[in-house]
Formats: sequence, C-alpha cells, structure tokens
Amino acid sequence: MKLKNNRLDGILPWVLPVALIIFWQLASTNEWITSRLFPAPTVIVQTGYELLVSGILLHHLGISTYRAIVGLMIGGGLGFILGLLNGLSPLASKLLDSTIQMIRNVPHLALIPLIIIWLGIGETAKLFLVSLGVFFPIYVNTYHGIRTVDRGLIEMGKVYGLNSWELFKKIILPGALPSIFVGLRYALGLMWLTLIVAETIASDSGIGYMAMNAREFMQTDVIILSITIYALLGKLADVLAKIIEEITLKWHPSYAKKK
Amino acid sequence: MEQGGSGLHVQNISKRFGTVQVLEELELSVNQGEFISIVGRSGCGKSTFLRLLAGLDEPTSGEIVLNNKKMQGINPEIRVMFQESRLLPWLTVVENVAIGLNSNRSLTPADRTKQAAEMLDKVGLKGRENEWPHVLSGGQKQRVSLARALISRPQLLLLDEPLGALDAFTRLEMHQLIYNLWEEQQFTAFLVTHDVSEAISLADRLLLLENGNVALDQEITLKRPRKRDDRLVSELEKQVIDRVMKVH
Ligand SMILES: Nc1ncnc2c1ncn2[C@@H]1O[C@H](COP(=O)(O)OP(=O)(O)O)[C@@H](O)[C@H]1O
Ligand SMILES: [Mg+2]
Repeated sequence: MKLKNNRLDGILPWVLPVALIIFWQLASTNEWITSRLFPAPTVIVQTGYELLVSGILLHHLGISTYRAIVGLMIGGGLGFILGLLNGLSPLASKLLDSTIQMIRNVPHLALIPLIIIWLGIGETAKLFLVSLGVFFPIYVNTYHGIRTVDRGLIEMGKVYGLNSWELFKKIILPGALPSIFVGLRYALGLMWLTLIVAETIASDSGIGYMAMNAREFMQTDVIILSITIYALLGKLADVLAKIIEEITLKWHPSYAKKK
Repeated sequence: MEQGGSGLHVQNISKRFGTVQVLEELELSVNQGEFISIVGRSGCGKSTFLRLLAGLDEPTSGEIVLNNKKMQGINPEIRVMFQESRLLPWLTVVENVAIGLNSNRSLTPADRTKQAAEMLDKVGLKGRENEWPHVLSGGQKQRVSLARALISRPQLLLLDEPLGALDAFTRLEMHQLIYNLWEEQQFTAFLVTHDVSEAISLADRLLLLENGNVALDQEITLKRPRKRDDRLVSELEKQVIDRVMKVH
C-alpha cells in the first residue's frame, strides 16, 4: 500500500505537463493551431539537434554561460567583499552602506540605454549589467548575515581566547553563511534574467541573441528552444547552489538528514 | 586588606553604566577552590559582577587580583558558562569541546580531539562526539558547555544561571555533575542562581548581592553531599529568602 502510494506521488506532478505536451503535439501536427506560430515539440527537438550538430547552439550557449559566470564572479565577489567589510566595520558601514542602499533603488535594467551609450554592445556592457544585477542581493545578504550573528557566540569565542581571524573563520563567517546562500540563490535568478534582457537588446551572440535573431526569420522553433534552454540553465544553477548549500550547511537543523 | 596571597581578591570594585551605579565599592576575598553562590534580585548586578571577573567588561574603578596578579582582559585561567550553552551549531559536539583547548597552542589536532572525547566521557556524553549540537537536549548541551569550560582545567569557573532553563530533574543531575567535577579539579567556582536551594546545596559560601554590594556573606558548613530535604538546608533557605524579601 505504502509503496504504491509513493510511486503515485512520484508520478502525479508529471501528469499535467506531459498531457500538455502531448496535446500541443497533436494540435500542431493536425494544424488545430498554426504550426508556424506553435511548432510541434518534435520539431523543436529536431531544431535543437540540428543546431547542436552544427555547433551553433554550443557557441551561443558557451558565450552565455561565460557571461553568467564572469558576471557572477565580479558582481558577487564585490558584493561579498563589501558585505563583509561593512558587516565587520561600523566605520565602513557608516561611510558606504547608505550610498549602496541608495543605488540599489535604481532598477539596474533601467540603465541599459545609458550603458549602451557608454560601453556599446560589447562584452563589457553585458558583464557590467550582470555584475550589477547580482551585486545587490549578495551584498545585502552578506551584510545582514554578518550583522545578525549571535553576539553570545562571539563573546564565547573571546572568552576562549580566539583571535580576530579565528573569530571570523570559526564563528562569524559560518554564522553568516545561511544568509549568504539566500543571497546567492536570489542572485542566480537575477543573473539569468539580466542576461536574457541584455542579450536580447544589445548583443550579437548568446542564447538571447539567438532568440532575437530567430524572430527576424519567424523561426518560432528556435525562439521556443532558446526560452527552454534559459529555463534549464536557471534550474541547473539553482540545483547546483542547493547542493553546495546542503553540503556546507549540513549542521543546520533544516538540512538535518531525515531518517 | 592584604594585597597578596593566593586566591581571588576583589578590591573596591565599582561599575557604572551611564548614570546607573550597578556595583559600588564591592570588596571580596575568596580562597582558591572555594565554591561561592551568588543570589539576589533580578537586575542587582550579578551578571555584571561575573562579567567583570571574566574580563569581558572593565570596572569603573577598583581592581581584581587573582593569585597576586592584577587581572586585565580575558584570562585562559577563567572560564564562563552562560544560561544558553553557546555551542557553535556548525561544529560537532567534540569539536565544540575542543574549543576549550584553544589557548593551548602546543597541542596537535589529534590530541585535542582525544582530550575532548575523554572530557565528554566525564560529563556522561560518551558516544555522542560526532553529533551536531541541535540534536541534543537542553541538559546535554549544558554538559557539553561544561566540558568545554573545564577541559583546560581553569582556576576559576563562572556560572551565570547555567541551569536556569532546565527542568527540575535535569538540574539535580547537573548539580551532581558540577559538584563531582569541582571536587576533582578544585577550581574556584562562582555560581549565580535564582534558586536559593541550589545555591545552598552546592556552595561553601553564599553571597547576597544588594544595592551594589554584598549584603550577606553566609558560610555554609553543612556536611556534603547535601540533601534537598535536609532540615538544615530548608531552614537556611528560608532565612536567606526572608532576608532577600526584607528590603523593598
Ligand atoms: N551593558 C549595559 N549597559 C547599560 N546597563 C547595563 C548593562 N549591563 C547591565 N546593565 C544594567 O545593570 C543592572 C544589572 O544588570 P545585571 O548584572 O544583568 O543584573 P542581574 O543581577 O539580573 O544579572 C541592570 O539595571 C541593567 O539594566
Ligand atoms: Mg543576569
């Protein structure tokens, strides 16, 4: 009984998506809907295969991934460092935090026209936008994480003679980590979002460009393929972050192994 | 008062926070190995006093002398236990205990782990070395905290209501444990508690803190081990409670 229920639980969530895809396939091949506007799933898979074999897909995928990772490194790295600095030093926080909070209120995508004028549509512009997008969630959550580490634990560390570096390494950083991960996962979402917009509007390569370029030739199959790839990349990044989180925070009650 | 001699000498300590005078010219001498209980109304400055002894805070005036040496700042000979166990959630139980050996830089990591495991055995937690703190009960966490405090064999152990959050049975067990370890290691102990019978059953001397000073300094010569229902214990308990309630 129990086993059967478990199997059913595993299958149930997939029923609706699979049914939708089958319906879509039928609707498109039987021309209930215009297949030019809604190409059948099999056609999209076929297109994906052709683009893969020709190397075009990997080319664009590689460039997009590169932008995502480099942007995340730069923006996330800066956010992390500034978050640490302001979290640890009241002086730095007084000096910098209010300014950063002010800039945070500007939606970074609103800067696109300005950035195209300043930096053109080259790599720098895209990296800049992605960096800007991921900077704030990581900064805010690192800062918050450090500031909210249990003072009692820090005091305990002092009683036991931990020096500043040990206090940071053994108490402050691990204490801030759950919050930093919240920032990271939020940043990953913003990373792809920013990249989609930047590549769609101002680019000559990448998945976003591939979609935009396909629009010119009414290749709806390529457009849908691009959207699907973005969704998969987003999911992949989230899963990776979750795995790292589970390994790093294995001490945390919410990650405790349920037996 | 004599300046020297082994033991702990609190000389004319005052502590003020802004305009609030918490401790006022407090004088106290304690022999090495004595067990002192401190009681007093909430807010009378018990925690403040312990924080001064621990070196976590500085007196406004006066000084504290431990074995002929004026105390300044954190001292590896002094350990503190708080009401919360203050274990690091991201370290295992045995790693938490090993923190107590932090000041001893000559030990290898393997030595630390070994000693920490032995200490855990002493507080009755053998076999729990590699668990995370969050799976332990409140009493077990305080055992780990006690093991961490005593693993380096400090001269002075400060206990700030360490059993305040535990149930009655667990407290009795902890009394026994603290008493046994005190007998074995012979550290000087300061136990702040709001439970007068706890204060009496453990201490050589009971101090009542009031208006920034020691209002009562009662030696307790009852034979050990002391029973809660001992007539002498309950008589003394009544006396102390009456004395606390007299003022105000
Ligand atoms: N860091 C501080 N700043 C200002 N006032 C404090 C501080 N610490 C304690 N006090 C005050 O000192 C008094 C004694 O506090 P405390 O020592 O914690 O009392 P208790 O005997 O309950 O442990 C209280 O009135 C408290 O408000
Ligand atoms: Mg207190």
